[in-house]
Formats: sequence, structure tokens, C-alpha cells
Amino acid sequence: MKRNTIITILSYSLSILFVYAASAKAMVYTDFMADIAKSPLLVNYNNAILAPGILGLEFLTVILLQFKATLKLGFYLSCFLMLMFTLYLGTLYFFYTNIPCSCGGVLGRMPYPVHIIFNLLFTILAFSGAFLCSKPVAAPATA
Amino acid sequence: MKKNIIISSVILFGALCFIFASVLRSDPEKLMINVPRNYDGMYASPEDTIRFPETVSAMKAEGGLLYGYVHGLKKLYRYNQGDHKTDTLFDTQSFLSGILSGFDIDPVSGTFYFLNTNTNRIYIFHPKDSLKDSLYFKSLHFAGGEKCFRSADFFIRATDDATSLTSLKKVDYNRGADTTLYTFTHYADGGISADGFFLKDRSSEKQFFVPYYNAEIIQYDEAGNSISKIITIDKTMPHNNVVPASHGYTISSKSRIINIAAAADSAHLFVLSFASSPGKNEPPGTVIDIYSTITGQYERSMQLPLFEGRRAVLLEKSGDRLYVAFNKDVLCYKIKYR
Repeated sequence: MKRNTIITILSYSLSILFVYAASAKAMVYTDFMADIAKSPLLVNYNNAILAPGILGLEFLTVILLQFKATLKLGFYLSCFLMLMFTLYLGTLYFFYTNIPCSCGGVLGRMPYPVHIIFNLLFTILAFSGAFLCSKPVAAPATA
Repeated sequence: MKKNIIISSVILFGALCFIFASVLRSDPEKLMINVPRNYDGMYASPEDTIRFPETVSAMKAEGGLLYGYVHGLKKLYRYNQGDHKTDTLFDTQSFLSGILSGFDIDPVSGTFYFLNTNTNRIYIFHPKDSLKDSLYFKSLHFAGGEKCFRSADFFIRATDDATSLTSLKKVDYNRGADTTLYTFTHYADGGISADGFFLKDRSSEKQFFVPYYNAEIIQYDEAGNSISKIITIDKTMPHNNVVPASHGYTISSKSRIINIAAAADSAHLFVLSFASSPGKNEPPGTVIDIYSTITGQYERSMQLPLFEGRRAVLLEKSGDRLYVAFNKDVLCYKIKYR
């Protein structure tokens, strides 16, 4: 498979994931805010800034992943977000007793271990995308 | 390649820093809500302190009398507001095994009802002639309830053995018949996720089931024979909060109690909450959120100080007085408006 095809598949996969995750949260925004407020890790943050911040970053990532010029930046932002979500869930799952998941839709209904593995997989995909984007394209052979 | 590794390392380091900072700032005991509470308009002024011999596990106020059940001694005590005297009304040792899952009083007949889930019986007691009887419905295993206002029926929570569904039912023990009024979200947990407590207000003829672990309070209007919901401001949805145990299920250590106690009057429901609101010093169990039982909407809150370092555990309302139990001490507050 050509490198560009893999990059396209990766960017679409991440875009679909972020569009779905952000939309699911936005559709139940009040519940999303309430879930953030209940998280022991986020309890002392201002969720009036945190909640729109998370949604904004997710939508921004989707936009960045759509253009060739910003694709690499989009992959890096995806890496950062997915890594944050994975570490957040992992920390809550392994070290805390109260673990509200703020994800909407089917993601929020996943058991925590499955959700962590799912996040980890997409984190690896995002890093792979970023690395593939940076790899110089082989110069076409000249006669 | 080297540049990529550096950027990836920076991302990893940044994410780890954020999580580490969050861990340092975390507060596992705190349950935050997203709504600022309104403390205007109402406050509680302490009037009296009633001391029971041991921790009060259930409380009712009827006709100027406060009844407190002390599980440690298996005795029901009566406090008279007029002469400020407390006396022992019943010793339930002889007929109550296990934990009492509620008691109720019919002020007209002076009859007392003791609900015992261990024996699946409701014991009837009349202090004047000491008549003792019990109600039993073999196929129905209840887990708490209250007597209805207009009939001899009971408003109970029960889990059906065949379907495993947990419901609120109106039960006619004399005929052995029941009507399902509300069915909880089903989890294979024997009804533990839908655990909570009952209370009622005689003047409005309304009964309430308040869940411990979620925001959905069920209101049963007996006069209109209708069910409605009051959603508390923490908005916690019903969820499965049990884990498998050797013999069935047990409450998960991850589950959090949200509503501790409640009381009602003709137009309001007073809910003692474990949740804190942003920017306020609200230790768990010190805030009472007040909801309209007519509109179902949140109206205001009031905060109670800790009593000798202890937080409130039970509430009861009678007229303009609010009784708040702090283990064996019950404080009587007068509700005042600013």
C-alpha cells in the first residue's frame, strides 16, 4: 500500500473519531459539563473553560487533518489529545475509585479497559500518521 | 526522524505534566456539580437539640411529635415538642430481626408500621391495645416503602424474581394484589443500583423515592395517581454501580452516594446532597437543595453547619420545622425567609 494511502486512511480514521466524539459530547453538552465536574482529576478546574476547550481542540484537529499543509500538525494534535485521554482514563481507572467518563455515544458505554485500549490504539495511529507525514518522499527515478 | 522523536517526546512530556498536575489538584472525595447554588431567600435557625441514646436510623414527625428509631437498641423513641420530653414507645426486639427498612405512622388510627425486608413482612403495632399483626405477600420481596394515604395499600420498591425488574409498586396486602407504578432502568444487580429511600408529605398526599446513586427522584402523587420525576442538580444518570460477589452482587467501591437524606412539605422537597458547587466551601452532607414538588425544578439551597464535627444524616420536615439528625443528636431548625 502506498504511503499516501495509509496517511489518508489514518487521517480519515482520526477525523471520524474526533467528529463523532466531539458531536456526541456537544449534543449532550450539559451532561458532558456535569461529567467533567464529577471527575476527581478535573474537579478543581474551571469546566466552563475546560469543556468548550476540549470540544474546540477536537474540532480543530479535524480541520487540521483535512488540509495537506496542516496534516502533520493535525496528526500531532491528535497524538496529544489521544495521549491525554488515554492517560486520563488510565489514571482514573488504576488509581481512583470514582471514574466518570465524559465521552458521549458508544465511546462512553465502553468498559474502561476496552476504552483505554481503544484510545491507546488511536494514539499509536496518530503517532504513525505524524511519522509517515515527515518521511521524505523518495525522488522519482530519472532516466 | 530526529525532529519527529523530539516533537513526540514533547507531546508525551506535556501530556504527562498535565495529568501529573491534575493528580496533584485532584480531590477524590469531592463530587462537583455544574450549577451554582442559590442561597438566597431561605435559611434555617436552630431552635432545639434532642439527644437520643444512640444513633437515630429513621425519623418521622407527626402532630407535634418526633419519632426516632434507634437501630442499635431496636427501640422507637418519641419526643414531645411541647414538654421537650423523650420516652420509649416500642421495643421492637421481639419481632424485628435484621435491619428495619422503614417505619410509618397513621396519625388518624395511631397505628405504627415497621417494614422488615429480612422477613418480608410489615409489622403492625397499635400502642393503645398492643395489637400486633403482620402483612405478608409471598411472591413480592420489598426493599422499603411507605403506607399510602387514602387506603391500606403500601407504596413499595420491589424486585420481581421472574423478570429481575425493580419497580415501585402500590400493593394491597389484604387482597394480595399489586400495581406497578414505575420500573427502574434494569441492570442484572438484584435492584441494588436502584437503592434509595422513601419519604412522604401528608398535606399534599405525595410520596417520594430518592435514589442514593443518581439524580432521578420519583414522585408519586396519590391524589392524582400519577408518577413524575424530580431531577436533582447533579444530573447523575442511573447507572450500574454493582460488582459481582461470591453470592450475587455488591456495591462497587467506585459508586458514590449523591443523595443522603430528604424531607418534604406541601410544596417542596429538601434533599441533603453530597455534591459541591463550584467556588463554594460545601463539605459533603452540609447542603440542602430545595426543589418545587409542583414544577419539579430546583429553587434554592441552604447550608447547615456541622454539629460537633459531624455531618447531617437524616432529615424530617413538619410545618415550618426541619429536623436534622447528626447521629444521636437531632437538631430542630425553624425555616425562615429573608
